[in-house]
Amino acid sequence: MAEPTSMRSGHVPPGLDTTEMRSMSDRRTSPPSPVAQRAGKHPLVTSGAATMVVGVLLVATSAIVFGDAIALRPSSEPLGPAAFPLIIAVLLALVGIALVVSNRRSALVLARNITREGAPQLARVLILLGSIVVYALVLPIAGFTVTSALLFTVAARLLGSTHRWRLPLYGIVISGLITLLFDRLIGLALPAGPWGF
Amino acid sequence: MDQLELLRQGFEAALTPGNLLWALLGVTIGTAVGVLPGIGPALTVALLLPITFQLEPASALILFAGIYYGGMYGGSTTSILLNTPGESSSIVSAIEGNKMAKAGRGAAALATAAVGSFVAGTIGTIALTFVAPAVAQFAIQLGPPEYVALMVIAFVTVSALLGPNMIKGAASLLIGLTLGLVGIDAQSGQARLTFGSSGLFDGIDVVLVVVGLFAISEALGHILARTGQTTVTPVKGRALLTKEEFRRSWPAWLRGTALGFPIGSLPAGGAEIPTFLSYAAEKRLSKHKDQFGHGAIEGVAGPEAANNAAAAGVMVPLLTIGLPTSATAAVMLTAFQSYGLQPGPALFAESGDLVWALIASLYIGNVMLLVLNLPLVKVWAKMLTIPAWAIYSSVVVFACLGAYSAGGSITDLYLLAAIGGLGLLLRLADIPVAPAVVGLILGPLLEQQLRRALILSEGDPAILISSPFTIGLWLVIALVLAVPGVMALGRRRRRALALSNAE
Repeated sequence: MAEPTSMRSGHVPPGLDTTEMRSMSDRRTSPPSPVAQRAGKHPLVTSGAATMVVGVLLVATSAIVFGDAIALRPSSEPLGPAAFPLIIAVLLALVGIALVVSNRRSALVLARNITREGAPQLARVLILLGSIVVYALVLPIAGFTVTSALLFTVAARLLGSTHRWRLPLYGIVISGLITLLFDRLIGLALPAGPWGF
Repeated sequence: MDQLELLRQGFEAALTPGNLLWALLGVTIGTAVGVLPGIGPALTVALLLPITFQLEPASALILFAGIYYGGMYGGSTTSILLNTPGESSSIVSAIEGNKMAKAGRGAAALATAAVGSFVAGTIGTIALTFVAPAVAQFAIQLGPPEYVALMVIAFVTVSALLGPNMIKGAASLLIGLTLGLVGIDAQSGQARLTFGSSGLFDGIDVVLVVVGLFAISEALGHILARTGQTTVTPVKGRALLTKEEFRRSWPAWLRGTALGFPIGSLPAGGAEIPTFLSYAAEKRLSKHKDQFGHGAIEGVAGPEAANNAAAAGVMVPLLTIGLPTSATAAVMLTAFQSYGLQPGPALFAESGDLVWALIASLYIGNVMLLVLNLPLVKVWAKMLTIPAWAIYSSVVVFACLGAYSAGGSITDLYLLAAIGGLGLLLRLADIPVAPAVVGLILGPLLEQQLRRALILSEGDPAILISSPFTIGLWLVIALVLAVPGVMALGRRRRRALALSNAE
């Protein structure tokens, strides 16, 4: 692959000698994760950018853990309740910074080549996560069977099922079987709706 | 032979018609769930855990042992037929196994995996019978400083061996450790990282984290990659070995077992390393070197046996020291706790009858799997024709059920969504999730032992290196951190995976 020599001068961040996605994807030797491989056209860039996001999250978590730990009251023990969290906070910051530094190039490349290609899929991911939150809210009101049948239907649609009216039926059958097995047979008390299941 | 008498009593407890039925139910649903693509043993066990909650401890353990072995067996079936290993220790058997399946010899690959699992599982369980009580005897003498060093070994090896590099392993481990901080601190009674939410006072349940990181993120991954529509046509045929295949398989089974059990039973282990070592050994020893990479049967037989022997080996540190070294073992530890059992040196003394019933049911589960699976291979393979959207939308429902029944509150479902999202991010970033599970369960134990050690020494950290045993353990830790050879193993794994993915 051709090295874009014109970009190797001092005004680009160190290590960032190209922002062309394809040549970056080719250059790195280790294979990307299988999910990243399927998720976009340039899996290594996606993977690197995701790694950087994890790094940022770790640094942010480090601050939260640190803030929580210093607010704890010291105890009479030699090693109080704050000591272990503080160690973890330091390690979180170190590892987080390492991930950010080593992957900033991918994030930059992704930012410069931003497309809306993956946007609908990303929206679907968020909808499913939102559905689980809604599920949690509706569960005590409508009971396990009905709520789960709805969640099944939503998840199946998001996963790309082309069935329409059949999905709620499948959902009722599956959640009905679960209710029968877990609630009636095994005796796990699942939340019941106004209709008793 | 004291153990034999105890084991006989264990068999007596496990061989009642009722318990045999539980074992049969366990291996059947364990295999059925484990065979679904992307669902490895850890997730199988976590998803099916609620079934066992309401049973009496002995039946629950027997059902559980069946689910565990069934999940392992189902997982290897899928990795061979589809090349979608549900957990990292079945990656290697997928390399040659999937090649064999593509060449129309899938049935032979499944047969050598099934018989190899049986041989390795049986020898491994026998070894467990004799090794575990001895280790438990030894473990009674271990004090807090030794525990601290053992757990740090587990941390360092788990993050070094899983994933593409140590930093990513460490990131995953730290995520687990942070999640493990949440809740009331037992020693001081103060709430940590709960942000005033009473749902978090008891901490975050391991089952919840496993289900979020493995199940929800798998479903999200399929949405992101638009692979929800895919169905696969699995290989057909009868699971039988020819004389030639058998002749080539059995030495590999035994070598795999010999590598798997000892390494699995180390407090550092997990099942990854022995499967790689076994693959490398078979490749070196084989008379058919040219077949490797194109479906060499030894390359399935050895690693598959190593994987199963290691799974029995992992029970040694789990039962005797209370130290889980794999995600599956971490879920098992939670399961034991929910049955009112605390794995550790005292387990054999206090609940010996239950432990021996468990070990006996591991033997029974092994036999049942062999009897069930050789004829039923076609039925399991049929499960692979279910479209992905149906599998994963059911998995989402089951995940919510599992999270809710493990934690018992609505907060757990919010956490499930958050952890599932995090899991997808980790998958995209190629960060392994197993270290997070191990960190979550071992973090609080490490802190407890560390604080205990320092109370004993009145604050002098020198207690951590006060005995020759601890010094030895810390030297091992330094070695793992310093020697790049261990890292190379991880990279070899990546390369193997890349190779098998490329085609």
